[in-house]
Amino acid sequence: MTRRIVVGVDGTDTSFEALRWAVAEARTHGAIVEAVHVWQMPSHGRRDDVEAAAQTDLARAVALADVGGLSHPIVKKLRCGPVSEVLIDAARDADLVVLGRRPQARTKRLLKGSVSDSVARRARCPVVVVPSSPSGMTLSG
Amino acid sequence: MTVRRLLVGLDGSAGAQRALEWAAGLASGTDMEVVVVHVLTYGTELVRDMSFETMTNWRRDLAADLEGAWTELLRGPGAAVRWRSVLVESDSASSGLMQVAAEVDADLLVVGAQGHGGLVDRVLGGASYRLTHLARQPVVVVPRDRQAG
Repeated sequence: MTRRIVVGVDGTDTSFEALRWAVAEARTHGAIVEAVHVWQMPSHGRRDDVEAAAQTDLARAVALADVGGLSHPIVKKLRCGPVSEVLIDAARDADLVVLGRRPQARTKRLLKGSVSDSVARRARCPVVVVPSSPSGMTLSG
Repeated sequence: MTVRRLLVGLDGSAGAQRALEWAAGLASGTDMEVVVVHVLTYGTELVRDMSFETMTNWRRDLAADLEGAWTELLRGPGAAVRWRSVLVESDSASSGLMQVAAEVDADLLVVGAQGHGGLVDRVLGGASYRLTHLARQPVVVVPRDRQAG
Protein backbone atom coordinates (compact mmCIF):
# COMPACT_ATOMS: atom_id res chain seq x y z
CA MET A 1 0.00 0.00 0.00
CA THR A 2 1.33 3.41 -0.87
CA ARG A 3 1.98 5.60 2.11
CA ARG A 4 0.26 8.96 2.38
CA ILE A 5 1.87 12.00 3.89
CA VAL A 6 -0.45 14.92 4.61
CA VAL A 7 1.17 18.32 4.96
CA GLY A 8 -0.48 21.52 6.09
CA VAL A 9 0.33 24.38 3.73
CA ASP A 10 -0.80 27.91 4.53
CA GLY A 11 1.49 30.12 2.48
CA THR A 12 3.89 30.84 5.34
CA ASP A 13 7.63 30.11 5.25
CA THR A 14 7.38 27.53 8.01
CA SER A 15 4.67 25.65 6.19
CA PHE A 16 6.95 25.57 3.17
CA GLU A 17 9.62 24.01 5.40
CA ALA A 18 7.03 21.41 6.35
CA LEU A 19 6.32 20.74 2.68
CA ARG A 20 10.03 20.37 1.93
CA TRP A 21 10.41 17.92 4.80
CA ALA A 22 7.37 15.95 3.67
CA VAL A 23 8.64 15.75 0.09
CA ALA A 24 12.07 14.53 1.24
CA GLU A 25 10.40 11.89 3.39
CA ALA A 26 8.10 10.86 0.53
CA ARG A 27 11.08 10.53 -1.80
CA THR A 28 12.65 7.99 0.57
CA HIS A 29 9.51 5.89 0.91
CA GLY A 30 7.79 6.37 -2.43
CA ALA A 31 4.89 8.01 -0.61
CA ILE A 32 2.17 10.29 -1.91
CA VAL A 33 2.27 13.86 -0.61
CA GLU A 34 -1.02 15.65 -0.09
CA ALA A 35 -0.67 19.38 0.46
CA VAL A 36 -3.73 20.60 2.35
CA HIS A 37 -4.52 24.29 2.62
CA VAL A 38 -7.30 25.18 5.02
CA TRP A 39 -8.91 28.55 4.52
CA GLN A 40 -11.41 30.34 6.66
CA MET A 41 -14.74 31.88 5.68
CA PRO A 42 -14.22 35.65 6.02
CA SER A 43 -16.39 37.57 8.48
CA HIS A 44 -16.50 40.33 5.89
CA GLY A 45 -15.10 40.56 2.40
CA ARG A 46 -15.87 38.23 -0.41
CA ARG A 47 -15.72 34.52 0.00
CA ASP A 48 -14.55 34.01 -3.57
CA ASP A 49 -11.59 36.33 -3.11
CA VAL A 50 -10.43 34.51 0.00
CA GLU A 51 -10.80 31.14 -1.64
CA ALA A 52 -8.96 32.29 -4.75
CA ALA A 53 -6.12 33.68 -2.62
CA ALA A 54 -5.87 30.38 -0.75
CA GLN A 55 -5.76 28.52 -4.04
CA THR A 56 -2.95 30.76 -5.25
CA ASP A 57 -0.95 30.27 -2.04
CA LEU A 58 -1.30 26.52 -2.30
CA ALA A 59 -0.39 26.39 -6.00
CA ARG A 60 2.61 28.64 -5.39
CA ALA A 61 3.97 26.56 -2.52
CA VAL A 62 3.56 23.32 -4.47
CA ALA A 63 5.12 24.85 -7.59
CA LEU A 64 8.17 25.92 -5.57
CA ALA A 65 8.72 22.52 -4.04
CA ASP A 66 11.49 20.41 -5.50
CA VAL A 67 9.55 17.36 -6.63
CA GLY A 68 12.51 15.58 -8.21
CA GLY A 69 12.53 11.90 -7.34
CA LEU A 70 8.91 11.81 -6.22
CA SER A 71 7.01 8.83 -7.54
CA HIS A 72 3.69 10.70 -7.51
CA PRO A 73 2.89 14.35 -8.15
CA ILE A 74 1.89 16.37 -5.08
CA VAL A 75 -1.86 16.30 -4.55
CA LYS A 76 -3.35 19.72 -3.80
CA LYS A 77 -6.37 19.94 -1.50
CA LEU A 78 -8.20 23.10 -0.63
CA ARG A 79 -10.52 22.90 2.38
CA CYS A 80 -12.62 25.37 4.28
CA GLY A 81 -13.26 25.17 8.02
CA PRO A 82 -11.65 25.17 11.45
CA VAL A 83 -7.95 24.42 10.83
CA SER A 84 -7.27 21.70 13.40
CA GLU A 85 -10.48 19.80 12.71
CA VAL A 86 -10.00 19.89 8.96
CA LEU A 87 -6.39 18.71 9.24
CA ILE A 88 -7.32 15.89 11.60
CA ASP A 89 -10.02 14.86 9.18
CA ALA A 90 -7.66 15.04 6.19
CA ALA A 91 -5.19 12.89 8.15
CA ARG A 92 -7.64 10.10 8.92
CA ASP A 93 -6.08 7.58 6.53
CA ALA A 94 -2.64 9.16 6.41
CA ASP A 95 0.57 7.57 7.63
CA LEU A 96 2.08 10.85 8.68
CA VAL A 97 1.03 14.48 9.12
CA VAL A 98 3.62 17.22 8.70
CA LEU A 99 3.06 20.74 10.03
CA GLY A 100 5.27 23.81 10.24
CA ARG A 101 5.86 25.31 13.64
CA ARG A 102 4.30 28.69 13.92
CA PRO A 103 6.10 31.31 15.92
CA GLN A 104 3.85 32.13 18.83
CA ALA A 105 4.01 33.90 22.14
CA ARG A 106 4.47 31.54 25.07
CA THR A 107 1.50 32.90 27.00
CA LYS A 108 -0.82 32.53 24.05
CA ARG A 109 0.38 29.00 23.45
CA LEU A 110 -0.19 28.05 27.09
CA LEU A 111 -3.65 29.54 27.13
CA LYS A 112 -5.00 28.52 23.77
CA GLY A 113 -2.69 25.85 22.51
CA SER A 114 -1.61 25.75 18.90
CA VAL A 115 -2.86 24.00 15.79
CA SER A 116 0.04 21.55 15.93
CA ASP A 117 -0.67 20.73 19.60
CA SER A 118 -4.28 20.06 18.89
CA VAL A 119 -3.60 17.99 15.77
CA ALA A 120 -0.83 16.01 17.52
CA ARG A 121 -3.14 15.25 20.44
CA ARG A 122 -5.99 14.03 18.31
CA ALA A 123 -4.64 12.66 15.05
CA ARG A 124 -4.52 8.88 14.73
CA CYS A 125 -1.17 8.92 12.96
CA PRO A 126 2.19 10.40 13.95
CA VAL A 127 2.47 14.18 13.55
CA VAL A 128 5.75 15.89 12.67
CA VAL A 129 6.24 19.51 13.66
CA VAL A 130 8.98 21.12 11.58
CA PRO A 131 10.76 24.23 12.89
CA SER A 132 11.55 27.09 10.56
CA SER A 133 14.82 26.66 8.74
CA PRO A 134 17.85 28.21 10.44
CA SER A 135 19.14 29.09 6.99
CA GLY A 136 16.21 31.45 6.62
CA MET A 137 14.86 29.97 3.41
CA THR A 138 11.91 32.12 2.53
CA LEU A 139 8.86 31.89 0.34
CA SER A 140 7.42 35.35 0.72
CA GLY A 141 8.93 37.94 -1.51
CA MET B 1 17.08 15.87 4.08
CA THR B 2 17.54 12.25 4.87
CA VAL B 3 17.28 11.41 8.53
CA ARG B 4 20.61 10.00 9.72
CA ARG B 5 20.14 9.96 13.44
CA LEU B 6 16.88 10.08 15.35
CA LEU B 7 16.33 10.41 19.04
CA VAL B 8 13.52 8.72 20.96
CA GLY B 9 12.49 9.77 24.46
CA LEU B 10 11.71 6.79 26.69
CA ASP B 11 10.18 6.83 30.15
CA GLY B 12 8.67 3.38 30.50
CA SER B 13 5.20 4.61 29.44
CA ALA B 14 3.04 2.95 26.80
CA GLY B 15 3.13 6.20 24.81
CA ALA B 16 6.91 6.12 24.70
CA GLN B 17 6.83 2.50 23.53
CA ARG B 18 4.61 3.52 20.58
CA ALA B 19 7.17 6.20 19.75
CA LEU B 20 9.96 3.62 19.82
CA GLU B 21 7.99 1.22 17.62
CA TRP B 22 7.48 3.94 15.05
CA ALA B 23 11.13 4.96 15.15
CA ALA B 24 12.28 1.35 14.84
CA GLY B 25 10.02 0.91 11.82
CA LEU B 26 11.60 3.93 10.18
CA ALA B 27 15.17 2.92 10.98
CA SER B 28 14.93 -0.82 10.43
CA GLY B 29 17.22 -2.08 7.69
CA THR B 30 18.70 1.38 7.11
CA ASP B 31 21.88 3.15 8.20
CA MET B 32 19.85 5.37 10.45
CA GLU B 33 20.93 5.38 14.09
CA VAL B 34 18.34 5.41 16.86
CA VAL B 35 19.42 7.05 20.12
CA VAL B 36 17.08 6.17 22.97
CA VAL B 37 17.14 8.70 25.79
CA HIS B 38 15.76 8.77 29.29
CA VAL B 39 15.83 12.07 31.13
CA LEU B 40 16.20 11.99 34.90
CA THR B 41 14.43 15.12 36.01
CA TYR B 42 15.64 16.73 39.20
CA GLY B 43 12.25 18.06 40.11
CA THR B 44 10.39 14.79 40.16
CA GLU B 45 13.01 12.19 40.88
CA LEU B 46 16.17 13.45 42.44
CA VAL B 47 15.40 16.23 44.84
CA ARG B 48 13.32 14.09 47.14
CA ASP B 49 14.77 12.86 50.44
CA MET B 50 17.05 10.48 48.73
CA SER B 51 20.31 9.17 50.00
CA PHE B 52 23.29 9.02 47.72
CA GLU B 53 22.98 5.27 47.67
CA THR B 54 19.30 5.32 46.70
CA MET B 55 20.09 7.79 43.97
CA THR B 56 22.89 5.62 42.64
CA ASN B 57 20.62 2.56 42.67
CA TRP B 58 17.88 4.49 40.95
CA ARG B 59 20.18 5.57 38.21
CA ARG B 60 21.49 2.05 37.82
CA ASP B 61 17.94 0.67 37.58
CA LEU B 62 16.97 3.25 34.96
CA ALA B 63 20.07 2.48 32.93
CA ALA B 64 19.15 -1.20 33.13
CA ASP B 65 15.58 -0.46 31.96
CA LEU B 66 16.95 1.61 29.10
CA GLU B 67 19.23 -1.22 27.99
CA GLY B 68 16.68 -3.88 28.93
CA ALA B 69 12.88 -3.96 29.08
CA TRP B 70 12.28 -0.60 27.42
CA THR B 71 14.31 -1.43 24.33
CA GLU B 72 13.47 -5.09 23.94
CA LEU B 73 11.99 -4.61 20.49
CA LEU B 74 15.34 -3.31 19.23
CA ARG B 75 17.10 -6.49 20.29
CA GLY B 76 14.65 -9.22 19.26
CA PRO B 77 15.30 -11.73 16.51
CA GLY B 78 15.21 -10.05 13.12
CA ALA B 79 15.71 -6.60 14.64
CA ALA B 80 17.83 -4.62 12.24
CA VAL B 81 18.19 -1.29 13.99
CA ARG B 82 21.43 0.45 14.82
CA TRP B 83 20.96 2.00 18.24
CA ARG B 84 22.46 3.17 21.52
CA SER B 85 21.10 4.59 24.76
CA VAL B 86 21.79 7.75 26.73
CA LEU B 87 20.75 8.52 30.31
CA VAL B 88 20.82 12.23 31.00
CA GLU B 89 19.97 14.49 33.94
CA SER B 90 18.11 17.71 33.40
CA ASP B 91 15.46 19.95 35.00
CA SER B 92 12.84 18.83 32.49
CA ALA B 93 12.24 16.05 30.00
CA SER B 94 12.09 18.48 27.10
CA SER B 95 15.34 20.28 27.96
CA GLY B 96 17.12 16.96 28.52
CA LEU B 97 16.00 15.64 25.14
CA MET B 98 17.06 18.86 23.40
CA GLN B 99 20.45 18.71 25.11
CA VAL B 100 21.10 15.17 23.90
CA ALA B 101 19.73 16.01 20.44
CA ALA B 102 22.37 18.73 20.14
CA GLU B 103 25.14 16.50 21.53
CA VAL B 104 24.52 13.59 19.19
CA ASP B 105 23.55 15.81 16.25
CA ALA B 106 20.08 14.27 15.80
CA ASP B 107 17.97 15.07 12.72
CA LEU B 108 14.65 14.06 14.22
CA LEU B 109 13.10 13.75 17.67
CA VAL B 110 10.42 11.15 18.33
CA VAL B 111 8.17 11.23 21.39
CA GLY B 112 4.92 9.67 22.50
CA ALA B 113 1.79 11.79 22.68
CA GLN B 114 1.44 10.65 26.27
CA GLY B 115 4.12 10.05 28.84
CA HIS B 116 7.14 12.20 29.68
CA GLY B 117 5.73 13.91 32.70
CA GLY B 118 3.07 14.03 35.32
CA LEU B 119 0.10 16.21 36.03
CA VAL B 120 2.01 19.49 35.95
CA ASP B 121 3.35 18.64 32.52
CA ARG B 122 -0.12 17.86 31.31
CA VAL B 123 -1.53 21.09 32.67
CA LEU B 124 1.27 23.12 31.12
CA GLY B 125 1.02 21.39 27.81
CA GLY B 126 3.18 18.30 28.24
CA ALA B 127 6.83 17.71 27.50
CA SER B 128 6.09 16.35 24.03
CA TYR B 129 4.20 19.47 23.03
CA ARG B 130 6.76 21.77 24.59
CA LEU B 131 9.37 20.05 22.47
CA THR B 132 7.44 20.71 19.28
CA HIS B 133 7.65 24.42 20.08
CA LEU B 134 11.24 24.59 21.24
CA ALA B 135 13.37 21.95 19.53
CA ARG B 136 15.69 22.89 16.69
CA GLN B 137 14.88 19.64 14.91
CA PRO B 138 11.57 18.37 13.56
CA VAL B 139 9.64 16.54 16.28
CA VAL B 140 7.36 13.56 15.66
CA VAL B 141 4.54 13.05 18.14
CA VAL B 142 3.34 9.43 17.94
CA PRO B 143 -0.20 8.75 19.19
CA ARG B 144 -0.78 6.01 21.69
CA ASP B 145 -3.55 4.29 19.76
CA ARG B 146 -2.04 4.68 16.35
CA GLN B 147 -3.13 2.56 13.43
CA ALA B 148 -1.12 -0.48 12.59
CA GLY B 149 1.28 -0.24 9.68
